[in-house]
Amino acid sequence: MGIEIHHVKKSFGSFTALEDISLSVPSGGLTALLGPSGSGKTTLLRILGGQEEPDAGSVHLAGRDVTRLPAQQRNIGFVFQHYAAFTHMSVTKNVAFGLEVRKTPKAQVRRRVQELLELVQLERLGDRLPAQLSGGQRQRMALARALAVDPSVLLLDEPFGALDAKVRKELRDWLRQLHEEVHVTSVFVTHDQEEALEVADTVVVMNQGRIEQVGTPEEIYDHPASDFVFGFIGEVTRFGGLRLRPHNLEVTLDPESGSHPGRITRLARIGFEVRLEVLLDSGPDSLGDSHPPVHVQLSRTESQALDLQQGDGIWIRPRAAAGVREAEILRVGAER
Amino acid sequence: MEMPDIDWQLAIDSFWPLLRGGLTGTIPLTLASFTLGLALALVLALMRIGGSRVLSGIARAYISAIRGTPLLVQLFVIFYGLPSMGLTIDPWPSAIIAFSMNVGGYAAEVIRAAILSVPKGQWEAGYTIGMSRNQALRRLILPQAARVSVPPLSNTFISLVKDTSLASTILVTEMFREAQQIAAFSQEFMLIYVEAAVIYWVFCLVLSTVQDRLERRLDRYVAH
Repeated sequence: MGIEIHHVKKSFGSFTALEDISLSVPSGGLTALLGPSGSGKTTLLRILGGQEEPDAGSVHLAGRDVTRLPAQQRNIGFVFQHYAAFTHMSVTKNVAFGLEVRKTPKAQVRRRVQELLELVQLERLGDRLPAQLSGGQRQRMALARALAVDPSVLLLDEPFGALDAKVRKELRDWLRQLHEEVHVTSVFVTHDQEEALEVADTVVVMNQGRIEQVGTPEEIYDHPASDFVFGFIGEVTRFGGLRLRPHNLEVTLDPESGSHPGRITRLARIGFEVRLEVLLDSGPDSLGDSHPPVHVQLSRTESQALDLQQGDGIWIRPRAAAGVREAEILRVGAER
Repeated sequence: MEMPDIDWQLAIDSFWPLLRGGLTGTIPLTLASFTLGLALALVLALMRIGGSRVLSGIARAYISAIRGTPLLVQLFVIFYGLPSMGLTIDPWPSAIIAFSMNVGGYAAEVIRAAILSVPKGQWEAGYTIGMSRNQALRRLILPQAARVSVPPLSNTFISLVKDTSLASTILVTEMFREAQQIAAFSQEFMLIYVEAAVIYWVFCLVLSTVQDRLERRLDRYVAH
């Protein structure tokens, strides 16, 4: 009874935004539509929200066919990327507005707004104007406003896109918690794979108007269904004929079976992580004449144990464990 | 050029008639024309952005005609031209009609731009919480567009205060016509016209101050 999308198609002029989308979103879940820009994720969300109409196909929300229903009658909550706060109204009024439009009795509106402001932790800022709130507070207000009408579905368009990294992280955790309390079927759009994997319980990976894969964050990460998903969901580096995650390469100071010599051309420490750029030595048994630099990711402890410095000569090979995870190593032939 | 002696007594004696012309002529004429003009402008702006090509075309043609012709000519067409078609309108209503039509043409573009400057997301946000197009327009879009249009509309208003002096040419007794009459009678053209100019200037200074206050008040709704 969540969201059912059947064979939805949408073009803008000669550009095909959605090719033939069928998707079933379970009731009560928190689903991410993940993809690069132009993948059709926002178009799909806007079709759910009633801001766009599909050229073909149907959309059911909570068991009701809403394909041709205007946004007003869909009973959805929508959180816009740039807040879309009503700048001429106080925070309280912003949240109350949807209820007032529906002619809800005043006392009931007041009670509900109070509840919602507490839920989004803005109860002390009710008299402020949106311009007097920080970005994170404004987005929480937008969320309260969307939830005010008791929507059967909550849709969020890049909800944290306009916020700085730290606030974004806080809000992610907070959205996860909020969803646990409210349990409304929710779909959010993001181009940030980390955000999708961390927040959602179902991830829908989209590319060029098609769905590449639907699964839990673990499934998506551990068993990517396509080359695209593999590349999009995390960093990928090339090692000879293999494509693999940078943390699945092992660095040694002496040759081991299957390892190749190279030189560290760059070494960057980012917190507890050390990233290397390694240029493989050319030679008779080299992995190809114009092999691109290999990216390797180590923990700081590993790096310190080997006393790695920029310019050092080292040996690298795929980790033994990486071989087990077949899906993570794909043949270069399919490289885009 | 010789410096004439200033006839201070005449300056003082003529002050009240001039000010009265301002208070009973210039200001009511400005207020009435601006109010009606704004209403017309809003209708024109909505015609321009609405879905209908015909309405949009009509509004566009009207705005083009108003902006492409001198205000004095518009005034004359209504007051001196219409009677030859059997439609005679008194000086005051003629002036109000001409100035309203003129303000309507200019302010329509200001209002249209202001409405379009409100992000599309505001309409969509209104729709998702259940508002009709009309409700969204009245309660979300126009209040936010009003803020954007205050500075340009204030300019239109201040221009109008000065433009009402043209009504003297169709026999409306406002400040400038009063000045012409006193000047003709006393032959003190320089003194009287400068005095009238100063009063216009003071009116506009007051309006600029009001505009500043209004803008500052509205500014708190904008995030910095």
